Amino acid sequence: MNISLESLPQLTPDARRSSRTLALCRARLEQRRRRPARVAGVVALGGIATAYLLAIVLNALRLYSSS
Amino acid sequence: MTVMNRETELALVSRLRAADADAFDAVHAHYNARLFNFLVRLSRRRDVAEDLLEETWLRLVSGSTRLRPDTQLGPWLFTVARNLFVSYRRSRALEDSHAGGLLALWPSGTPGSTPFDMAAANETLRRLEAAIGSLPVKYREALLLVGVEGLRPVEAAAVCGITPDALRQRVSRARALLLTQLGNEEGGTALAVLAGVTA
Repeated sequence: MNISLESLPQLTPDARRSSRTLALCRARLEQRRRRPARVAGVVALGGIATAYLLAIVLNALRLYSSS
Repeated sequence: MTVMNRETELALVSRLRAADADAFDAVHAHYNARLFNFLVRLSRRRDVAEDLLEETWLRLVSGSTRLRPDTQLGPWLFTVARNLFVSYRRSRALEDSHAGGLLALWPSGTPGSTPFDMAAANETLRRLEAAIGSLPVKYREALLLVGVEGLRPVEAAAVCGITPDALRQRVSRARALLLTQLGNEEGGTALAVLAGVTA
């Protein structure tokens, strides 16, 4: 009978813990996947707010210069 | 042990970089048992191996978007697992005396053609398992990566953070130590047992 190191029996991890780890990892990946969209949303909102404030300032300057 | 096709691996890496949970499932299914076997034989404790295994997967999740497109998942995961074990061992000063405990984790029955062969193989494998467990960690990890997990020497060397030549020396030394331990009782069988170890 040919025996090698690869003949050593496969030891199996605890199935319940493995599925818990898998679920935890999936949840974290889902968070990571959503993060870019959230960042893009924040950037877009920031851009709109900046443009709005700039418009107010420019309008105020225009009124001031014309008076 | 099944080897992952390189194209499949690259596709999985690409999807992992996009935090694809299904790709993670595929990688987990392929490597979970192998990583556990490596960790449990390295640490010789199921509880430690389970903890380090979980941490290895969490590291893949946290580092998934930073993976290089050409990452080799096997060596990457074994490197993380091995480094976690090294850190654990440093912090806890792990005792090197749990080989008996590892044998208790074995499944009942090992493959063989006849009941006699099965019993003989089982006994030989148990002695082999105990002998591997008694090796110093640096030799044990080299032997496990190359002889059990089937990593190429250059990959195993990268996992251990040493040169391929140094790894070959460690595997060679591990073989010599195993031969000393097993050979005293049945030298011929011990040589056969080590026939699968190549570096």
